[in-house]
Amino acid sequence: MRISNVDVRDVNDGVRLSANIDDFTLWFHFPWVHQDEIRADGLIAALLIPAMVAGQPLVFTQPIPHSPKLLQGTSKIQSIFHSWNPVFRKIAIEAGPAVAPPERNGVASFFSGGLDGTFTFLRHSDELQYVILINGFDFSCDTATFVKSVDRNRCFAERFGKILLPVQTNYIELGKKLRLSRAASYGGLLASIALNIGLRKTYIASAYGYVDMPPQGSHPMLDHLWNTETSELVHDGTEASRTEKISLISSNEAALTNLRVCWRDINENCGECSKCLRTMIALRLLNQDERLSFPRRTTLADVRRFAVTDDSSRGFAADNLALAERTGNKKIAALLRSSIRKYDLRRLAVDYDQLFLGGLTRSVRSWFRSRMKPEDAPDIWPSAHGH
Amino acid sequence: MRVTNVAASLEDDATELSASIDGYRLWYRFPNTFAPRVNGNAFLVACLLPAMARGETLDLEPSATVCPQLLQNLDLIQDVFVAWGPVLRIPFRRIDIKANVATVDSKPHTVGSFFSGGVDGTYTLLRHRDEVSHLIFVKGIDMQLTNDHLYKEVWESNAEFARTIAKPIVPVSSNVRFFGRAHQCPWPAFFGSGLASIAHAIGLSKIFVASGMFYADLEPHGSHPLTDPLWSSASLAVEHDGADARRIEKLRSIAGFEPALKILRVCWQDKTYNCGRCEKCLRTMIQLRVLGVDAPTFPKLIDLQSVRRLRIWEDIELDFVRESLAIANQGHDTPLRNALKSCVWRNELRRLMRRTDEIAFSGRISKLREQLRAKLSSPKH
Repeated sequence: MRISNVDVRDVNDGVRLSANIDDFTLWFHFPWVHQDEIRADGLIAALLIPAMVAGQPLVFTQPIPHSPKLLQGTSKIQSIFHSWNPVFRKIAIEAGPAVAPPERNGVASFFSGGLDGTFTFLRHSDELQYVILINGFDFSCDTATFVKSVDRNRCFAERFGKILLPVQTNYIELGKKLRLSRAASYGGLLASIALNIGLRKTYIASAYGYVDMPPQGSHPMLDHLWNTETSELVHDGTEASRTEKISLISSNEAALTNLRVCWRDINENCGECSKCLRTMIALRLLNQDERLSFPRRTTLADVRRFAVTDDSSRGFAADNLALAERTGNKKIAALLRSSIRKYDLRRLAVDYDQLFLGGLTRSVRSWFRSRMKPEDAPDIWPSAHGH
Repeated sequence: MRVTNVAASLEDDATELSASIDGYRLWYRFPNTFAPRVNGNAFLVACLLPAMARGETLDLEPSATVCPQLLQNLDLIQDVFVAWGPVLRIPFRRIDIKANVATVDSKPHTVGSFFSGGVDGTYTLLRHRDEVSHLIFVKGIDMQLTNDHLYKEVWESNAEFARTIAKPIVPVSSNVRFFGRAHQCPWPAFFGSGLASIAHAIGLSKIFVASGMFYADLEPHGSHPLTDPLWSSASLAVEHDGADARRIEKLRSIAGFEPALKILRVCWQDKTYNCGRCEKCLRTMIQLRVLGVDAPTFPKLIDLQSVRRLRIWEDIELDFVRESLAIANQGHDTPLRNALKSCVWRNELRRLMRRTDEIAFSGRISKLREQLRAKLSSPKH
């Protein structure tokens, strides 16, 4: 994987960083960057995981400097990823001279108005100066939609005296090319953005707890390994349960009003998808007014509609069940308990199938998958066992 | 929980660092070549989890100063162990720590690696052989403090190995494991902090803690790649090593170095060097047979019925058996392969049945079994 034509230039409304990755041009657009020189650090962070899945060394054709501390960190990152899923092969990195980056300024957190990012924002509000909003990775929306999101989140940030930094990129296209899931690459991408801007400290909000933490691109074992001598990445909020996060957010009306969790729309919560439903249920149990950020109040029908379909949704249901039991809401508790039990019984059936029938159902799915077109093949996840 | 009477005393050629923890005497004994440093770091690390298990403020006497960086790290340790508490079945709660802060120097360039001839420790040592300056051999961790006979036998083997690789081996003894157990922290939940406290007591600059888990199979555990480094201070770096290699790969690596294979010891039964019958011995013997390796410290695995019937209680231990099966599937040892398949199948069935009981019957079946067992085993009057 050859990186060439690394270029940083001022454009009308900010700074554009671009590089050729073999025959693909990767670009980032920042409002500004702290850096006076072109460095390899951000690109190493963005491209390590893609290079591992491609099984190719990362080769910089230009002699641009890199951080020795970061390079050391990539060795451990590779060990962890390779252990999680051997499809991530260990690769060599050929970069320019090893030179520690100069002192950095600024403390930021990644933010899109979602649950985890808002929790981290509120918690470190005293320390933060910036919040970073990205288009072109977790979501890739048209300009008008992104501008609306920027305006909304900028208003929110300014209420707390913070500056919003909108960042755009076409990184999502690189992932699609390699069939690399966002779950595998997002940690490196976030680190890349923080290092390219040249911040001293950047918080990455955790999406999981210490017990249910799966192999993921952003992980408490990984994030600090992207550190350079002068930039620090901090994985934040792992110790807080989802309901603790919602509780903190709902104590701040501005945060609750700005809360956006929806799969379908980055600017409006639909009130129908699983992400909306699980958040609405928690707000109802906390006696908060869901209408500040959701279309309507939560009903028991919404609780019935919240489907437990995998371990992740089971975790959210269990979190809400614990909250329902604590707050004495017996009806919601009974519905959630029933959903969880049905899922557990379905899982048991699958496991018995695996044990007694050699995974007949899985075999059928695999046969079907083998007849799929290549473009329908599933993305590569951090874990060898899939999601 | 109060830590008082922190003191170092010299006896013959050994130093003892000790403290009273609410009347319980916790001690560490090591050679005089490591000059004693009276400070609170070792006791802070050893007492944190017990204090959290009891929900008590940890209060160190004024002279038992602690490193500010260590204190900061322990904030995150507390978060992790509180989250892990339900899985470890210990009711950890966040607590306050009262201690004076001061940094303390370590003996420079002293890089230790815990070593007792086992798979993980040997693998880590061989991998970092150039960097490690001292092998740390602890009495009171994998054998009873009072088992002098077994200690002598193991010490002599390990000392000979240390001479072979031209590294000093440091005999250390401590009752830290028993301290944890007496304070609601059994060793599986405690051993990361227990080992780290030993390294702090000695005053090393770096210590390797060999991993017992593989990155893909991590679970809440006393020693973990996430938590072990957090027991570090400004003067001691604690490094968790080897989670990127499966146990069978480690054994394969050790098998290529005859002096290490010659002293291989995994048994915790406190009876002989390796009893050859317990679960740890059996799974090592399985892996040796899968690899086609003879280790002089183990009997050859002949009784495959014991493999079929092996009862596995922890997921991580079943993972070790699965590793062996994966390798056996590529080989020609059909009887062993079939025995391993049977072992994995039986234990997965047991796990499924336990889960079925929990989910479908709210655990009533296992409760009923326990009651029946208690009734049948009670003496008839």
